[in-house]
Amino acid sequence: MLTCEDKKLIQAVWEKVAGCQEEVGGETLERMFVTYPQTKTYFPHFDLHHGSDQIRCHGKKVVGALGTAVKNLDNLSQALSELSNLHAYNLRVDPPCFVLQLLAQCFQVVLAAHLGKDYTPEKHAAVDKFMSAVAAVLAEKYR
Amino acid sequence: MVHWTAEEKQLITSVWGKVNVEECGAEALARLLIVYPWTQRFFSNFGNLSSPTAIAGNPRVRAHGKKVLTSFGEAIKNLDNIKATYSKLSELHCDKLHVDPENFRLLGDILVIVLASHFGRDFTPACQFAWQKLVGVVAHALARQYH
Repeated sequence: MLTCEDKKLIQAVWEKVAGCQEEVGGETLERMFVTYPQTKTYFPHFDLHHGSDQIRCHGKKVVGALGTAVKNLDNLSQALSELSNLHAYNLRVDPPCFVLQLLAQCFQVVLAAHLGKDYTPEKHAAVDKFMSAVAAVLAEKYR
Repeated sequence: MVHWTAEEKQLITSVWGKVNVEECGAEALARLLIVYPWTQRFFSNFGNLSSPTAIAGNPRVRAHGKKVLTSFGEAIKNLDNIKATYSKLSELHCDKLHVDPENFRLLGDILVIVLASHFGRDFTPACQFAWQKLVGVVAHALARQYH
């Protein structure tokens, strides 16, 4: 469960990346494709080379969705309802929480690389909880 | 036996060369106990673990973190035989410490995040790949003697 303190920390982290969402998103995806090549199987239609426009755009979309989640921490289920449908019935990323965990790990690596010491253990814990909560909502309708 | 490319070995050793084992080890272990509080069950005799500040400042956590990361250094010196390097530690973690191997994966992921926070942009995607592979291999070796 996200506590009040967690929510404050998540919002604080979000403010830091507000200005470079596209960059953060693109980097997250690129790291995911490089570190966990199996994730490329969900993007056979993409140009997955470094600097690809498609990665950049999709990364921006992903981070945008996370931003929506950050603005609706009290109601993640409703806020991400459309995306939950998409992942369950359309994308069917498998297994639901495992692959999203890989994305979450890469997202945290990008945050840590950008924020350095400022990515404190407390912020790390709050973001980790947040990403788990998002993954759980996206996996809600799988079966 | 795990196959390491020359590039992977180079990325691992070049990052390792710049790591302050005491600092990184302490930080990684502290973060494990903070981000995944249930892991504190293995350290009930470590004293004050009541808050992130207490954990980060706890001298036993720091000392043990250093020990854990120093042992990682052994894996890096023996990349071609990590299995043997961790054989005894694997038995220890199973028979004496009773640690669920899932925790090795958690610590590995945290170590990668700590490295990213220290090295910023220098911790490139290629570095991350090599290090995630390494922590995965170490986790696997540590779980190998479980029965």
